[in-house]
Amino acid sequence: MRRASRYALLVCAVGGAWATQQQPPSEIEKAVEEFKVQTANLGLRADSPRRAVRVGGGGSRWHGRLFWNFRNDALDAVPHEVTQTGGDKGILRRNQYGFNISGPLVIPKLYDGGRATFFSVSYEGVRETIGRSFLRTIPTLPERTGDFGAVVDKAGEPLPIFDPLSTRENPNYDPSQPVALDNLQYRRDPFPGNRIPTSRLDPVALDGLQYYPAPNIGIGPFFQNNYAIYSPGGENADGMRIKVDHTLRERHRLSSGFAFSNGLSRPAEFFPTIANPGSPGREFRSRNGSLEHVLTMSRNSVNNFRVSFWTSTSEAGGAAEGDDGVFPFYRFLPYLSMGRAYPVSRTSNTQYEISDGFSFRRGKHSLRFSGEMTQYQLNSFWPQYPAGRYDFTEGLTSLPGIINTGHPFASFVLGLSRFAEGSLVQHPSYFRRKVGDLAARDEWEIRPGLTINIGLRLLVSTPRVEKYDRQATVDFDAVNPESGRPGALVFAGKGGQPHGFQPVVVTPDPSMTVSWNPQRDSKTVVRLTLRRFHSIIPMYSGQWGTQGFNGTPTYITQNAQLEPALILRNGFPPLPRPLPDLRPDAANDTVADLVDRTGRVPTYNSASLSLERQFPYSFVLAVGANHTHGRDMLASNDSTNPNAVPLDALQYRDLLNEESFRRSLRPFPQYQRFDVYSAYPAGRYQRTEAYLRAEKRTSQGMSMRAVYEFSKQYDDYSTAGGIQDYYNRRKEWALNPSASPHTLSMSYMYELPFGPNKGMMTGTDWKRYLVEGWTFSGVTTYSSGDPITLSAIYNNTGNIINVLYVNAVPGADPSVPNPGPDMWFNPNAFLNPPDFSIGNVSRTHPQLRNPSRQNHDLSVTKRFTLTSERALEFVGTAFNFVNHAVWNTPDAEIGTLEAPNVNAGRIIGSRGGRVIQLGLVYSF
Amino acid sequence: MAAAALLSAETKERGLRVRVPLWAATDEPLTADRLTARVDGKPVEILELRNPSEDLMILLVLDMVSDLNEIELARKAMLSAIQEIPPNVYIGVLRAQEGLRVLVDPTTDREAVAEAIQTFPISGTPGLLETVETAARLADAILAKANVRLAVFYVTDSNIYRYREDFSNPVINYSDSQDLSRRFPEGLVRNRISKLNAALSGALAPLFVVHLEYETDRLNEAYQNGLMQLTSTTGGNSSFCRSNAEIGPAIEATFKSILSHYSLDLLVDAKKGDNITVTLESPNNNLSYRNRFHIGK
Repeated sequence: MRRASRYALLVCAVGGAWATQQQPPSEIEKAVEEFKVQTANLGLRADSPRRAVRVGGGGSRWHGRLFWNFRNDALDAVPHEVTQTGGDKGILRRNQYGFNISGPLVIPKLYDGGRATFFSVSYEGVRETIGRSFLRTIPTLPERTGDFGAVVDKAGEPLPIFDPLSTRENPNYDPSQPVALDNLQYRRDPFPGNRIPTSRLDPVALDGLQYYPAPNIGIGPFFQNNYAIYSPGGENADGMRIKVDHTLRERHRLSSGFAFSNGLSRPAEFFPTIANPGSPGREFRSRNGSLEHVLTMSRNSVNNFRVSFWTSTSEAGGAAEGDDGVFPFYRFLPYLSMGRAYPVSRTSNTQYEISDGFSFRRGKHSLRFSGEMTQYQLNSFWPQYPAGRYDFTEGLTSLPGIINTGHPFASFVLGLSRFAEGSLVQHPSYFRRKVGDLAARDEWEIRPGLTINIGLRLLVSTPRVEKYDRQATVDFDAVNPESGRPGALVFAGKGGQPHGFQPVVVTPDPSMTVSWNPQRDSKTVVRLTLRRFHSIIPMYSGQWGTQGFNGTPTYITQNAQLEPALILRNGFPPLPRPLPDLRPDAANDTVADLVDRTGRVPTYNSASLSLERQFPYSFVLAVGANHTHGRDMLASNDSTNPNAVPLDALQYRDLLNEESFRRSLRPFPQYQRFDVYSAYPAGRYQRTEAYLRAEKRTSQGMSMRAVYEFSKQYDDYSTAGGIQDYYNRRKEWALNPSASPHTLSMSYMYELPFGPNKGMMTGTDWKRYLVEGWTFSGVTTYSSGDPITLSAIYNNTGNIINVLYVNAVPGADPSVPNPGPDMWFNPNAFLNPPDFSIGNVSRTHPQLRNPSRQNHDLSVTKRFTLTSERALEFVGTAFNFVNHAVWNTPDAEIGTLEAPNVNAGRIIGSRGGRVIQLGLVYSF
Repeated sequence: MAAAALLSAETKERGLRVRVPLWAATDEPLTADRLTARVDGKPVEILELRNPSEDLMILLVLDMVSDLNEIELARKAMLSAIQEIPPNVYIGVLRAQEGLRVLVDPTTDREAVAEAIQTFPISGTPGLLETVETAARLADAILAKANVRLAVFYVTDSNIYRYREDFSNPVINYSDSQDLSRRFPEGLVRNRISKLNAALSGALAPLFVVHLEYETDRLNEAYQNGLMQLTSTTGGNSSFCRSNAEIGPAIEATFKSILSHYSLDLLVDAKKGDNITVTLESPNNNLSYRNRFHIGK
């Protein structure tokens, strides 16, 4: 009876006339009635019974998974670099496990979230022990006793070691002629037999050497690559992520999230003593949380409000790996150094963010206004070289003015350092900064098929301040009281200085995108985007910019060939003045911290044009081109030096070896140089790229995508070690050293067509468990080689050039017909520049490329369906599954005609190897 | 879900009734006598063929929460399309955010449908993956009771990252530098799609999806591929709009596709097993149709 009356009502609604007689319902009327019944039973109606509403979406109320990923060295190939050293693969034990569960939030007898409250909880744990392999060069045992009789140069010729105590002026020196073997400014005697007498060896150096391992292999060439390390490292981590969503009266939605993670990283050791130069163990803790409120005000307006925080703490050394004291940092290239730069450090990085965005639509305009405020906090305790850093070069054991003589390690065993520095950090630094962001955007549909999107963003960035005003920088406008010259140390909040050294930066970022469907063909889209944008200067970990509050004594030799900066046996001198030392000249004679005060920030301008066309069978082809150029890119100490000696000073030749003379040529002679800490806005950048993208969406279980990109990227600041001329950045304009001009990436997924409801082997007997549920996924990448960076071995430029480029030999072709590991490029096309001159080949070579790289990853999944809601998946993933070896880069150090690098242009070894991970996922 | 079995009661003694959605390539009307049908290669009896002029029910599911502009364009396109729809087509409107909910019962009252489309709430999180199985179950329950043509049509702008359930598997332990498990991040999406696909392989109503955005990041690509797989399994289809201009035509084309579909009932030998392959032929007419069915036990 109840059903019949419903049909009567339905007839009324459909036909518009009241019918009191009950007629047999039509099929469509029956369908409508059944819709009502079913939606009521399934809880899909506002008036559904409470029980039905709770069941709601059908199936299980909670979904989730348990997973376990497993890696073991037994599954992996021996890495090529290990095979080449005759070693075996190191230990690998990795277990990664966890769970996730999500669904309506239910607290028995207290709360049933139903559709309104939804939660998701994930946990992940990691336990890993992994062996690392390294191949390094360390001093031979005879060298450690002062015997350099077997030491050779890059050409394999004996390398003479000279006795610095025998130095005397050459009465026959002709200052009008360059220093040369026949016109020496100083004479110095070689050690007899190239052996330093035991009595001359520095006891501190000898004491340190007891912590240095012995060579254990002889790969070469000559005595290089004589120490192979297979050392275990590890990672432990546990983390959890919780999310809760709640809907309030339809229009309000609240979502919150919280996550934490604790981890311990134990890097592999280069050697198991206090002098290990590898990174110290590090403890990590991260926490983040957010709360978001979305208010749907009307069908055309939505407001999003969000508050969040994120904090990450890391602590290295000390408690993280047992406090066993601190070893000084000894550096004597090309050998593996001893000690660590940052043996102990603590950093806590926190961000608080509040944002609101309001979107609404009016007519043909869709507008969005948003604002965001972020407070950054960085607490850093980061003492650099707390036990001192000592650099040793060949100069003090060389024949002064003559290249390819002397040896850095010989200088070390004599205890004669060319440069030394240390730090005394009394307080952590508490850096703070605020960044605001205001944005407006209008998406305007001018007509069907033509849309323009115009946006403007204002980025407001306050300068970095320190909670207790413990900040300092060199001010070029302040007069140094010691020298009377411009440039003195100033302190935040003192002497009229602001709390932050940089101005508040306001940058407008306009953007425009036009989307056009030519001839209103919706399958074809042309997009043009023009954009200008800025980035802010980040707050780096560390305590840069706190000189005066922390001590950073620096010692540099007055002549790198004649006098040591410090002698090891004498120890590191105490600070000359107690801290804090807030004198304007407190940073004199040091590497002074310099904060750029101009307010410049990295600025980019970009334009892009693309054409995308959809073809039948879900095939999409896109072509496009982008061009971006930038200025005020952040340069590091390697690529900027506002206190550099101009290169025209090379005319003074050997006089440049005198620190006092060099000092007179520096713009700010009271400072050795400046530390800009990768935050100096001085670089330029340009990238042009064209791409072709082809996509095939799912068809017969197969989908794939391929992207080919051709690009050219130039800049004047990215470098592996430094640039040649700080004052002529035009000459530094060269290909980016890590930019590959050609890249191709392909990804694919294929679900095998076997099993029920597939095209083949559709049987439902036991065999279905074998044949169904197989999926193959893969990612293949190929990139052509990046530009080769050539450098000169012998840099006899009076220490005013950090990295010396090479000269091109006129008429010589740098390429070789069939590049291979024995000869990748023609080293005879280049020469080490003569003394006191610069190289004429660009920072990166315009034609020569390092070997290309390719990688192929494959994942195979076998799925077992247990019930409609439960499944078990086995996942086998092979990274570099073809076990492809990538050649190492060729030796790109170029010598002179007299002392060539016989290995230049050659490639020694390759790297890479297949890694396999197995996984098991139970989902419900 | 084993919807095909729901229809077995009518023809219990002779076998199962399987409903096949099909489309003819030409405007020439299809008739049952000009059709031949085979199941797993063997001829089967055609019980009934409902043509595009017969009654049709469309369950229009709205799942839009993101871009106001796209949503407005979709609204306009839907409003325009329903004005062109013949009067014997019943449209029910549902929303998918935070679970499936009825906005308007199936009706020929275009004003009521338009009102629902105009005013449906755009709040919440995407719901297609959470609701599509329920929508298909609802459709099959209706088909089990009534001999009509029926289609489920989702209009969505769902982004896989915006679901309440976590399909993106975000990094939890940032210090774990050796994590390789996220190199193939689409596993969770694929897992869910596989489950839904298995469930929908037994559904009889074709599923159609118009997605307002064509996403190209890896996870959303896997998601949209999955949507294509789901619609293909049920005999429907999906469209993904790469620009605003595509939204209107895509919605219009999907409505047209739904309106023009035939519904063919075949009598299938119940002993044929759980999975069958259907082959249809008509002289001088290319047919497109769902050819694989999973029949529940």
